[in-house]
Amino acid sequence: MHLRPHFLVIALVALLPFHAEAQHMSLGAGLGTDGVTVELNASMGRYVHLRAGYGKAFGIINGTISKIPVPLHPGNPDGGSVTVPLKLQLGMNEGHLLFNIHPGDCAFHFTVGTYFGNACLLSGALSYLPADYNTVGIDVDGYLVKAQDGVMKGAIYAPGFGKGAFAVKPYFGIGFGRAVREDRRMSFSIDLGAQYLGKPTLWGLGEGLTGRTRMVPLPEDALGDFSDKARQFTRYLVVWPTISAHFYVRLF
Amino acid sequence: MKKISFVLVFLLPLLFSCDSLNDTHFKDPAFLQYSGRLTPMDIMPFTKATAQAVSGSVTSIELTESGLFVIGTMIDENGTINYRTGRYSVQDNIYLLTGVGSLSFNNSASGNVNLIFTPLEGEPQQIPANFLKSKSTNTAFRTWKVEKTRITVRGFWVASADFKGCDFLEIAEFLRNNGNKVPPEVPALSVSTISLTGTDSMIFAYTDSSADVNEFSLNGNVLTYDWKDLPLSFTFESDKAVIEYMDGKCILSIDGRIQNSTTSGNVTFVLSPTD
Repeated sequence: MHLRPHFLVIALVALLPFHAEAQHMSLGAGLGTDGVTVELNASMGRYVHLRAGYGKAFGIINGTISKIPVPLHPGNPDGGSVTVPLKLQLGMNEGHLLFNIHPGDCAFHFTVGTYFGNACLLSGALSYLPADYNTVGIDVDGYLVKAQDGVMKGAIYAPGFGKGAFAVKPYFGIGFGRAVREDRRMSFSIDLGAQYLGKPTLWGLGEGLTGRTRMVPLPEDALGDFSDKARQFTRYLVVWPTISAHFYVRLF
Repeated sequence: MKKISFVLVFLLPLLFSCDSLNDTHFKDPAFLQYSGRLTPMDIMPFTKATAQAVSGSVTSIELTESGLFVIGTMIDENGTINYRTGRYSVQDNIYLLTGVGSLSFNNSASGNVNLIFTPLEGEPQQIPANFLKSKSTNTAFRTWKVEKTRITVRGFWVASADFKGCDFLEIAEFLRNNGNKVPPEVPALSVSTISLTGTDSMIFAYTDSSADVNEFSLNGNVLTYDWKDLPLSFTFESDKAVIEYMDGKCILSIDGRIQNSTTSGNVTFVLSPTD
């Protein structure tokens, strides 16, 4: 029996608002550093709004580092090298459960809650790798992390307080605007905050002996010098700045 | 609330899925009841069976559960045995060995039999022989096609590599390119099948119809073998291998060390049934 966390997240996000004694509800869409989001919001009294939603980055924010040097033969550093491009993109794919707390009847609010779901923060792909990279790789529990047709896929996973590929990332922020307005059909909100990422780790796409593929965590020193560079980069990734804008339509 | 319950019921099947990782359901091999090993008790010349390049005195004829035959012939006075492989079929209890001839004997049980061998271009010969009937008690006892070979090398660096099939030249070139010492005289061969038989023979059959045959015993999923020769010149650190089943495949994992090298490693074969 194998639990599929994604479906669990979607189901929770979809159903949680119904359990609150909602006075008014709204449907929202947003864009930000947490991806493209959809939300179902419920007012719980005058001062608290519950926001349950789902966001995905869709690779909208991305970039390419064009010249990453790699050995021609991965096991032989003296055998020459080539440069290959590394494409990076935001990899969020997660649900969130947030509470907007308004100190009064004003639009200003504090937000607390959590993001949860797929731990992928940043996904990347090295392309045009030499042929040896389609053969050789790093074995993690029977899954061989290597290139396929010259492309090696990896990711930085940030689990927060979660474990492995499932993230639970607490969020705290401030914002302006109301997710549910009693007096208007439509409303707008801007939020600024931070998600706690925990200790980000490198993962790679591994191929099992029988051809199954899955993302697996790479041992800390598996990539030699590249591991050191990745560590230097990820140690600054303790929190993820989250800036987002949302547009809401009141349902009732 | 009813709507929510309905949605939950609808979603529940999506939350869970069943994986069949350890699939050991294989159909019986096609020649299960005919399989065994013949050991001639008298000189059995095979000089006329030229199609399979078999010559010398026959020491054994292995008839595997999956229709593969392996003929062992002593090719010199030092006792060197050469093995050749091919396919056999059975009609009216007569074994038809492709490119060799036919065999007829009482295959109902283990024991001494009167073997009638008829070469492709020759007269029937009667030879006293011993027949060891396959005990055929294990899923592993069949001929397996080598689909993939995963080699893990532990030397200056640790890495694994996947190869389609098991082509010795391809593997050796890859190891050399990546800074590993490999003996220069690697044969231009691929392992086509690996057979484990109910007569305790482990047969590595190569693409040129040659083979290596050795004895093994199976205790649970641990295979203990007595290996005497392998063209890639691996000497094994231990005489044990592990068998597992996954996704309808057999996974045979062997620890090894390359001769005259500090490099050690693990060779894992991904095998699929041939019948």
